[in-house]
Amino acid sequence: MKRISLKNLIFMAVCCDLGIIAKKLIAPAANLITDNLHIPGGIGTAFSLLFLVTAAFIVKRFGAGMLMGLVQSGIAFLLGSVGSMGALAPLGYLIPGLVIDLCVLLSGRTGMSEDVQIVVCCALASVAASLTANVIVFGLVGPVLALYCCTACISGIICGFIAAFLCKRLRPVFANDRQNVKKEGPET
Amino acid sequence: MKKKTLLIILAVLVVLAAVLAVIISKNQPQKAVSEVIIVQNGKQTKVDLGKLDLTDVKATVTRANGKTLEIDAKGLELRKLLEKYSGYTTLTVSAEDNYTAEIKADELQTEKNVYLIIGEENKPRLVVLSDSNAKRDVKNVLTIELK
Repeated sequence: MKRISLKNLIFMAVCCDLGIIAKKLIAPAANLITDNLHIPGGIGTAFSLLFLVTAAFIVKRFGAGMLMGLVQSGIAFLLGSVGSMGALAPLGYLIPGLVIDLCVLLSGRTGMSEDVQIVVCCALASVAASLTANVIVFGLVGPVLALYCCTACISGIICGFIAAFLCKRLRPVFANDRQNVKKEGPET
Repeated sequence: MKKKTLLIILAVLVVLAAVLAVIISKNQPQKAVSEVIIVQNGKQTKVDLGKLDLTDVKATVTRANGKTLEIDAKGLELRKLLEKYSGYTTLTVSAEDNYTAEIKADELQTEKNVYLIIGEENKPRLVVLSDSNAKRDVKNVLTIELK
């Protein structure tokens, strides 16, 4: 298994932090919408996941998503922002991470353009995160659960477009990095 | 799949969400700000906390992140509110955003433990003082269902 370069690891760590911060920043606006929809959440998580999806599609290594999920859950514990999930919070980060990894793994076999792959990945990860939260905390059923998943999917698709844009802008930076590594020696 | 297909899916989801939101909103029981709806065997009774004899509730609760939160509000013990009800073993407290918390009838018997207080914007709020993670801290309480 190929190692992840130090530059990529730093980029992943930054994306983990940005994800946590983005979720906190968007929370008041997201709560305003979800309160009016009578659902307990489903928007903020997609803004957190967009950075993980961006990093996973740049790094393109199986396990990167789960690793970032693990790091994010650690940060969330340290910052005290685990929410209602409490001790089960790592699951809420690991499961979307696994979905991201599976999307990256299968991305080459779908025949879709990378932009679409990223959007689909972000939407699926967002729905997975919401369903995990529902199983652990909310226990919603019927139309409320359907609306909760629908909202998560919508925010996932919107954030997926942002992630696709970020990937497009960042890819040249990391492409240059790979060329430099080949010239200078093995990866860290 | 193309970007255009994704945009169509997005539009369909937005319409679906709007329809679901209307359905949920229509099924949501209507009440005044400081009221809670007590439901037993399908029978709904509205209780206005603002019209009850409330006492000062001062306590410290621990949140899931380990931080403590000082509570200083008007409220009453939930067991006193439910004194005239019987034949239930659990109660489900639901918020306006459909967040729910379950409380066993036994827990209600513990004195100075489960409170219904007047929270932000005069909205009822459930507080369980014995909880170490404030998981059952339910803001904007809508219904209390006795089962």
